[in-house]
Amino acid sequence: MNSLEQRLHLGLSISLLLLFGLLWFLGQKSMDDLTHEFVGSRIDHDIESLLAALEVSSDTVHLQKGRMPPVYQQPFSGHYFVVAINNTPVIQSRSLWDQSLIIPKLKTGERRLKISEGPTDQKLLQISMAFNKKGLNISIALAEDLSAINAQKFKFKKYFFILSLIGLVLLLLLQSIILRLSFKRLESIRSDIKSLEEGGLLKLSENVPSEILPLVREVNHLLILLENRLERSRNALGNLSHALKSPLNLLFQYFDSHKSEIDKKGVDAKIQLERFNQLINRELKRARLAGKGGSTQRFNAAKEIPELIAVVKQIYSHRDLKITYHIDKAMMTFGDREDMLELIGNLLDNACKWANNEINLVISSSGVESDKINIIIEDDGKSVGKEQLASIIQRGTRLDESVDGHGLGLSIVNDIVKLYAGSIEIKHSSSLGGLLIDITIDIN
Amino acid sequence: MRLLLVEDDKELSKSLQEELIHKGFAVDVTDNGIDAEFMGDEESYDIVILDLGLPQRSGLEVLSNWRNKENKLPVIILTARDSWHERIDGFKAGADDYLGKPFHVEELIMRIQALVRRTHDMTGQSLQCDKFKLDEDYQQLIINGQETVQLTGTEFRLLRYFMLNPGKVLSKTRLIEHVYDQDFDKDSNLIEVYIRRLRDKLGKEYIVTRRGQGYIFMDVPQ
Repeated sequence: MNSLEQRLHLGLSISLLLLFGLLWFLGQKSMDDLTHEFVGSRIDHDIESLLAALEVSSDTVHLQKGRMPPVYQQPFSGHYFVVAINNTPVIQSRSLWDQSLIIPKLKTGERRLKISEGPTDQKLLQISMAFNKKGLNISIALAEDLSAINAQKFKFKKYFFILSLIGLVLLLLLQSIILRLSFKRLESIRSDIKSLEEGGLLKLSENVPSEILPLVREVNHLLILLENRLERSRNALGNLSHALKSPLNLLFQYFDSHKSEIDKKGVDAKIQLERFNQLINRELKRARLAGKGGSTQRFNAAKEIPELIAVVKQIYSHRDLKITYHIDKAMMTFGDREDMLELIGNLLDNACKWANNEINLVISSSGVESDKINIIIEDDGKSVGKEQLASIIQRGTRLDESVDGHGLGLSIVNDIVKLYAGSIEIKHSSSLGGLLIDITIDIN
Repeated sequence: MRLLLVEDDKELSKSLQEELIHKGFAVDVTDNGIDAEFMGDEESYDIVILDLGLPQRSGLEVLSNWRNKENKLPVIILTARDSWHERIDGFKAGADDYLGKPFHVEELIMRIQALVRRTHDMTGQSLQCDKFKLDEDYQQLIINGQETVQLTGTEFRLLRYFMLNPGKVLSKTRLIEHVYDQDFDKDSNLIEVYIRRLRDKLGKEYIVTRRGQGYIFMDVPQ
């Protein structure tokens, strides 16, 4: 059993049951003791009265008339006595009628208390005592019926039991409510973690019970560490590419402005330069990808796609492009923001290069827990052979030298899709007539 | 056309400046963000080429400061940081175009020309007014699609500015500001000489003098 709540519940319930059981047992015992004490002291008094009423003559005893209460004369009244000399009964109360009491063997001065069966199913508390009066060993047994008291006791016990039971149930209920309320405070952390995962939050709230505050702090600390590390490496890569690109640009310009004087070797050098540039671009971009399961900001498609499309339109403002899009209404945030912008940005850029004037983008989720994201982009450009396209995507080779950077963008797309354990499918767009790229990525 | 080039790499900015001057731009250069912001606010440029990784003040900051002050001058961002989220940040800060390094000068020139036409509400691939078409690559004037007239550098710059602002009164100071860079002597009467030469090439009726105000390029001649 791994649930803290269940564990606490069980532990508290057992201890409550034990407590109530102990209470029940002690109540029972003290009740019995009390009645025995009470009835016993009355019997003791009657024994003393009886002893005082006995007349001893040589080897026998007589009971003086009228000295004992009338209740001992009434048959089966519930009050009985027996007097014995040397363990042989000599006098017994009229109330016993044809029955008798058994007197145990006692030493002089001994007192013994026992519960015994009496006539007509009575429960008797019997006290037997032994005396020595004028040389005679007299033992007296006096008993009183407990039935009436027992009935009272039973009634009391019954109420006590019912009240205890109600109390127990109420306490268990209260306890489960208290537990649930306490654990409800943990619920906020769970929802925090969920929105952290979706990129809605960058750290967990520290308004939590003190027991788990250290844990939450540690998680926050790690989050900051992780984010800083990614940030640092991304910045370092940005700086590196910045530093590399200015000299590269100078070389580009050198070749551009000396076009007419460049010989064959110069052309080769220029090709190497282009390759160099592509390699730097590709590797730096690839190194910047965060991948899934990061703690970085998540991609909010509904918010970012319109912005991205506006940017693409501005870049291609010299062309009259119509870009439509559709995003599932219930779409949650997914993936790393920068990765997804790079993925969709490159797809849109590629589509813009090839489209005549129409592009359509659809983002939807599927899978068991919406853990698969489906991105479809289609255009109305001239059709390209499937094999040719597959080779672009796999190797990043350029399809058309006049359309700049075509291969690079798609090879980055391929890298990102691989990172998200996804798949790319290239088809002919039946609605727009151009190319359709269908990408599925796994975000869990 | 007057252009501000903000680039901190000395070599690159020198070589780029040469290319741009060669293409008929009056080019001012600065290598840091603070000067760039000041110059962009004080001088009237037709276009700014802005690098993002600048010392003292980043290019994005300079750009958003301009936009916050309602300074709408057209800006092309030129940067090594060309991932898509950075492009979005650039456009959000108010950029008009974005070019990743390394680039080919032809592409930059093409984008500059397109952006300038766009900011002057002109559509199409080239600069055209009435029967005049300006060939920006070869710096020549084509009349009625047949006759080709060669232009000198200053004539080309002057005519381009006229053709971007047809029907507007352009003062001598404004013409000087947009045709020459900041080191030029602004009191010079040279501009009158060039206007006379342009009138010879286009026909007198196309450039009208408004005494005490300036000149108007008439796309529909009176």
